[in-house]
Amino acid sequence: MQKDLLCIEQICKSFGPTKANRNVDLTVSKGEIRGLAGENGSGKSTLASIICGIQRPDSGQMFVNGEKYAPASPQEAAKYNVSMVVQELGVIPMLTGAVNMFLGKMEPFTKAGIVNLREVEHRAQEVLNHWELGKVPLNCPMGEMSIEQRKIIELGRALATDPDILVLDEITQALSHDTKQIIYTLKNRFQKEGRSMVIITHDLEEALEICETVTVLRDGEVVDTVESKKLTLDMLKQMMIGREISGGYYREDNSPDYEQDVVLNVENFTLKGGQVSDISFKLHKSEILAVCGLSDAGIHSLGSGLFGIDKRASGSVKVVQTGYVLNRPQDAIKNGGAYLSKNRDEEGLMLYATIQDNLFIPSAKECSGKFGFLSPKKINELATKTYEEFNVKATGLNQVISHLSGGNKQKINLGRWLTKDLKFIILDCPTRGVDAGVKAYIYQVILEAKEEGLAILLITDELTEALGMADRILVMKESREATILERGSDFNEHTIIEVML
Amino acid sequence: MLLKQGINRLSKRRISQLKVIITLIVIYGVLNIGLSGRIFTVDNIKTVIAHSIFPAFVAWGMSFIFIGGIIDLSIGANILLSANIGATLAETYHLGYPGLIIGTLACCIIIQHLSVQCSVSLHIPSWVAGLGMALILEAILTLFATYLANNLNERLPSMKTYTALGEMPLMLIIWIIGLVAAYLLYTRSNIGLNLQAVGNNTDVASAMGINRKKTIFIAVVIGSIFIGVAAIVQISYATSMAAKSGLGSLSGIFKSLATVLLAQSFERVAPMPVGILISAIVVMSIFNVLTMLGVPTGTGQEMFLGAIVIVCGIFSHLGYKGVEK
Repeated sequence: MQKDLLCIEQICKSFGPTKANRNVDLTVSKGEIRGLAGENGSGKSTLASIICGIQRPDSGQMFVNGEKYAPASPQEAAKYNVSMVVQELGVIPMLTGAVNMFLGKMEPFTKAGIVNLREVEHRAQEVLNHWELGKVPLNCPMGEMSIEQRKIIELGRALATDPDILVLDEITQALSHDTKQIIYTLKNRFQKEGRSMVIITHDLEEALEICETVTVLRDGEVVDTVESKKLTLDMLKQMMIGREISGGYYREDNSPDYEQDVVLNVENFTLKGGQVSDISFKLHKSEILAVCGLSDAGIHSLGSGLFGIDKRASGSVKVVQTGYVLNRPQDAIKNGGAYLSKNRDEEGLMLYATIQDNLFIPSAKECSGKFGFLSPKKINELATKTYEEFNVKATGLNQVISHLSGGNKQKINLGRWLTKDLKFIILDCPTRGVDAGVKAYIYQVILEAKEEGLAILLITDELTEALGMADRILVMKESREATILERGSDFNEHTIIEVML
Repeated sequence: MLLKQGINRLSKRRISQLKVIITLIVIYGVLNIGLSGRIFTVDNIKTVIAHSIFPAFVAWGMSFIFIGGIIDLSIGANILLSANIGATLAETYHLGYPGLIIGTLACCIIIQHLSVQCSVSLHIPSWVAGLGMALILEAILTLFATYLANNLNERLPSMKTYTALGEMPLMLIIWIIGLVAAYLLYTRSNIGLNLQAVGNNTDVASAMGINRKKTIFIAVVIGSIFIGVAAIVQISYATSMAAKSGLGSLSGIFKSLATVLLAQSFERVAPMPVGILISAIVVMSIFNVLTMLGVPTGTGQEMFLGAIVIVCGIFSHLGYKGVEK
């Protein structure tokens, strides 16, 4: 028992008729890095939230260092040196990074009821330095930070309690290629210091790379716990899904395959804030053009900028067929364009609306009757068709979207656009926060859309995704275009990283 | 790299601050020239400050209550009732300043809590509960006035002896103390930070170990104290406050509401308490300038006030991406 840092016995947790965890047994040794793998809805996040005191189990028991452990809150968990970074962004946007890091734990910085914010900032900086989390502005409101910066602050918040057990729920998918190194450094440090980590990630390759052991969950139950070195990617997928996944994730051809008709012509595109500078490219019919770069390269700003959300300083984005120059999102939509933000929950979906409302909104015009009023019949037809086509797992069209898993949310987010007659689509990290099954499904949908002639700009933090899906890859460095690589020629991870750096 | 992005965003905030300050200086500079230097006279500045104390204190109080998601519209009626109770204790029952201060503050805190609890405990929208409470409080004050007239042959009290809190320089000192207290409590205290967290995202705040109910309770006490001070200063300055009916008390807090709205639009530029101070001065000086320009009071002046609120909102949100709710 002493060697086990965390021991979980027969944990059960239900939400109404749904059994999220069923008789889960799990032990994590000192210095062990454990992965939790499973499809969306397999019960990983529920288990993690039970470990960290966010939720209480219906039955079962837990031990930390051999001592009985039943936290009623994250604060109580912290007393046992257990902390967590949650999947969804858990920060207060109007408060600064430093305050967010210590919110609810301000006593050491408070004298006569007044908080010494300088000391808070100083301590926050110490945490960032101590754990080598990089440089993040600490006196800037969180609402003005990127997703990546927010995640680093959340990680700092979890590490500020000096945890023996750190649970990370889907953190790496919010991080860019270079910032992910932080997790690797942290992992080495934890192992060396005899601390443990429980990592939930949908990036299975990463799970096998970072974790020593992986526990696979399916339908709330533990399927098995296996040493990573004894597992292959396919074996892991099979354990998660319970059957063999036919075919690979990605396309198998080795040469570019798109038509010569140009759909979108981008010339010397520069954003007002300078996040993107002097970018030029042509996006062709049936082409997937991937965009890669380090965290400050401006790849995500390029997506929102091209769609007209961020203001352009110079250059142009022209829809070649109509000759229309895009300035605003309305222009892009009118000209057959669509955009999926990386920040799906805040910038993509109406979280507290129903599935049906989310599905029909982009097609509201098409759902109008003779006099311009919305036709409930047309709305229902469109929503049902998309819901079925994209195989959304929910209780029905009237379910509020906030309760769905990440994969199902993304199916709705993507599906509602792809049912329209689009000419081009900008996808910013479309597989962020989705499991292996949904990921494979999304790739299949993207490839089908490509076959049908859709021009796709695929912005991604995952090089394997870019390499696996794209006809060409635009690599950005310091807000500018570094190079454009074509499928088949120098199309490998090594070349891209060399250009990125 | 990440730091560079953050610094860019910070400098945007500084630029917005500068834009607002320069705009205000230019507008008032031009108006001062146009009005032959009548704006920047000592007497006029004193008048503007004296008039801005009441909306500033009420707005500080509102900011503590509103941020927790409680939009209470009974504050005007609360002020009328509390001020008159305090004044009655001070003047009619000869309890002097202790009667005025303790009576007003205690009454204000109790009523404010009743109003908030009415919304929180009964699970009804706060603005609905607030309107109901406003009608009840107005009726109570009217009944109180009737009782005084019928049984004691008196009217609602008029402040004659204990008016120092409504005179300069004490008003100015109270104003400065109010600003320092509001700033420290809102931006530098545990309760202020917790309250901002609860107002922003209750679920995240709870996950961070913040007790929502306790936070709102303390915030209402703090907000009530600011509103109570506003009531004390106002009745001391104006010497009396008449009973109102049919939600007439709402008009008494209109300028404070405008101040809070304006300060909210400044929030990306200046912390809320400082924004409230600036907004209160801006709001009152608008009325001051409009009066000098001969714009009729009432509808004419309020139309200008509305336009200025919108313009300030546009300025403070320049470069902001997203939808304001």
